[in-house]
Amino acid sequence: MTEPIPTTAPASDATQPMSPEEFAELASAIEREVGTFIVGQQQLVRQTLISLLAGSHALLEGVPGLGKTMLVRTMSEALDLGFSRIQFTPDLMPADIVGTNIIVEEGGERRFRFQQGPIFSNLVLADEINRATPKTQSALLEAMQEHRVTVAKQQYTLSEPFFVLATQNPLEMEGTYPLPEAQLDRFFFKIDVPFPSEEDLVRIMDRTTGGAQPSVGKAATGAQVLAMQQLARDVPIASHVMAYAIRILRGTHPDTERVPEIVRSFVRYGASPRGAQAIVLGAKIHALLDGRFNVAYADVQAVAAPALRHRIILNFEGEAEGIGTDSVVRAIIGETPTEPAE
Amino acid sequence: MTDRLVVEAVGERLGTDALARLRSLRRRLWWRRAVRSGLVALAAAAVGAALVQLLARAFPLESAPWLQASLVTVVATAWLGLIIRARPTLVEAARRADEELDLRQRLGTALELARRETDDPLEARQLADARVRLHAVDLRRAFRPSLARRPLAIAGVGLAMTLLLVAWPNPQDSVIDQRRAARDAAERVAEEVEEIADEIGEENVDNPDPRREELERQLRELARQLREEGADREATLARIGSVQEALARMTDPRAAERDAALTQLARATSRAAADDEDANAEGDPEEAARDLEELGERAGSMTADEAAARADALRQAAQASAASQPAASRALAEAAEALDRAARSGSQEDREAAQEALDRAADAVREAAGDRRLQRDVARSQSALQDGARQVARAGQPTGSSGQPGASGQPGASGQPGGQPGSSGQPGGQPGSSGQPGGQPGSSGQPGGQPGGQPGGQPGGQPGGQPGSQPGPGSQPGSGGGTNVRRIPSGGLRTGGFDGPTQGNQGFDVDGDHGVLSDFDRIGRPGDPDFVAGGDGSGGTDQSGSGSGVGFDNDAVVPYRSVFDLFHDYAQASLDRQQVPITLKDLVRDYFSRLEPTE
Repeated sequence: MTEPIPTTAPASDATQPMSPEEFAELASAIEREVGTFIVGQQQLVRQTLISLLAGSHALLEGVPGLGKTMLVRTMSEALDLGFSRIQFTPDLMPADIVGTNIIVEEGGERRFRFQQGPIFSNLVLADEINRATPKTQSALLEAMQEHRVTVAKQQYTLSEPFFVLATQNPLEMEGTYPLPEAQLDRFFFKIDVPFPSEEDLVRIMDRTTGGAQPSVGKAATGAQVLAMQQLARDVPIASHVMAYAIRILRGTHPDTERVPEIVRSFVRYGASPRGAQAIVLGAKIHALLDGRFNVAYADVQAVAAPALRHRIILNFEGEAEGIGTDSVVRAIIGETPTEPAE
Repeated sequence: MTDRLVVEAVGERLGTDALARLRSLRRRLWWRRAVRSGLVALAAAAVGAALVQLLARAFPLESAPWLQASLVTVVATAWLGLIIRARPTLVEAARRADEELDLRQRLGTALELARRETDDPLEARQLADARVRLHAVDLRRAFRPSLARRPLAIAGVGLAMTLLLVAWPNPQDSVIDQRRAARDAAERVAEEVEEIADEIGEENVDNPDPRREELERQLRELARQLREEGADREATLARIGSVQEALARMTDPRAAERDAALTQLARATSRAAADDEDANAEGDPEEAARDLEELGERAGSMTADEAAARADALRQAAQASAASQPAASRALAEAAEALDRAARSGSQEDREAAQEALDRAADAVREAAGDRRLQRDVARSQSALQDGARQVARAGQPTGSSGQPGASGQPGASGQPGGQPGSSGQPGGQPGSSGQPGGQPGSSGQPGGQPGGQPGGQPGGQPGGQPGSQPGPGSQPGSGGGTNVRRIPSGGLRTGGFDGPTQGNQGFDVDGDHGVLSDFDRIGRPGDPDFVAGGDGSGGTDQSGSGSGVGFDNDAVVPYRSVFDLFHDYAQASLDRQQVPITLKDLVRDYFSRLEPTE
């Protein structure tokens, strides 16, 4: 019989209410600490932080060598949270992620004992997630969704905060298993990792080829992250701003009236309601990071692309024409009025 | 939630100061909307006015100014309505301020939160933040009205077009003037026609005559049509023409003869019936009828000789008018026979028969009088319609600079012989009064037969002492021509502006008894104390009209022949070109054939 073991305890059971000023200060500290190691990429850092503070997960897409792993590792160091990394390969099994029961001998008895997998951590880097088989991917995605794992009919709750950062390489398609749309939908944001600018590249060379190695300080604890997550959800959003977010979401659906031509022509399916949830929650956090206590249209627009780009499914023509979902989102934002025209 | 509740909530949770600033924002937003919509309204009105002006150039749009005024009124009213409807609510003003003043939806969110009753600290912070931001707003720079280029340009182009089109002479104005003049003329004609209809109606009350009722009805119908559709000159003339045709059918060509005969019959009848030579000097048929009725009443009491004498007189009266008033004459003759028979037999039965015959004769005379009234009404109506048609035809036409004078009217035919002093023929050619077409054809129409004997004692001491007691035999009618050409430019007739005669020369009659000749008053007689005998005159001096009367502005004296041909050709062409009743065509042809120069 498998012995139940205590689940990973949360970082803090009782989170203290946090003020917006503290929130902004902590977020700024996190970004600052991450910035000591990650050169440039402010948008990448900001969107990753929003995903974290939303209590959800992010999918980072970029060519190798852009610092995706480094970013997650640095963030874990800055947040004083547990960190684990899973390198996805075709032969990776679900048990390699969630853990497995092993036979141990205690007191002359043999019994099964659950051996936690790397998923039992606060910050999990799922590197090159599209290289694992769908079965393995599903194991991870279930844990991401439920914040718990089930092994041999026994459930194990993951500790909070629980944040998965998955990466995938858009170039190497051979021997990969692209994530199905339904599983992509579970990522709060899909964040594009851009190639650094020339200036940033110079600074990267300076930092990585010199003798001095920057160190990352602890900017926030897990409890503080949980408090930040709680505060983010309390940010008020006016009904007309909410309606604007909904209009943006509906704009991704080609069968909706008055959608941009690019949507009508190249989109097969629009984003699910999870997309609107991601927009609203991301906009709230964006507002707090901006020092405001309410959500603005600008917040919605700022988070619309990472929230929707992986939730919009292009049709064949769109794929053939090389239409990017970012351009679709831009068109929707451009053609969706915020207020009635004067 | 109504604006009032929002106001209350905002006042309570954001403070009255914030509320006042929000209201200020709302006013400024409202004003900007009014300016914007006003520009659009101005552009619409200007373009509309320009379009109306353009239409007024393509079509004779008489109501163009009213249309433009109506358009402007409608647009202004719509604009006012739009302004009232465009009054923003506080929420609208707040959201618009968020959008344009970079407040990042602070005010809109705050107004929404203000309406909730929550104690959330983050919401309280949001309200405070919104209040602070609102106070930092520079209200003077908020919602500044801007003049949108497109409506401004459209309004400018529209106004410029309108002004240009207004200043530029419109060729349709003359058409409109003509229509207006035609309508006015038609209105005047309608009034005249109605006056005649009223008079006919009043006169027809006592002695109802269905024919006069029909005439009255036709005239009223014509008046109504003229009032309703008087702007169309051709149609008006056609209507008048059709009524004239109907009147022509009602006209008795021998009406004048019958009229005179009836007068004579009435006079003779009264004299015969009353045995009084001075009775009924006016020849009133009604009086004659009454005399006959009285004679019938007295028939029983008259002696046989007296009755025979009356019967004989009546018979003579009947015979005298038998040709022109056959019915009345016949009835009168029968009455005379009956009276004669009664006188001879002396029987009561014959006397009663005589009385009945006399009553029938009275009725016949009255009936003849009714015919005469009808003919007079018809004649009066025809005259009015002829005058009306002339007015309508002339309405709106460019008027001639001056009327053609009587153009050298032929001398009044030589005050012939007698060398009677002062017997000069009347100068022909009354100068046509200015603008009057068809000026009297030089009084040449006056028969030359002016009594040659103008009294020698003309005031002013005209010599010619013969009292001229004998009328000069100058009985030949003058043949003065006259012309009614409005303008005869030197060097030939213009064809462009010439509309032909609208009133030809009038015919003339020489009436021995009732004509234009009348006795003159003698001023002096031989034997009078102040009588100065004059010497023999040297004969009449033919005088010719000088043609230099008022309105004679050309130096051309047009030969009658050429003028006649011109008029005749024009009339012929008009008859061929237009729909003219056959009877009127005949009338015109007959008219010109009578005017045909005989040389």
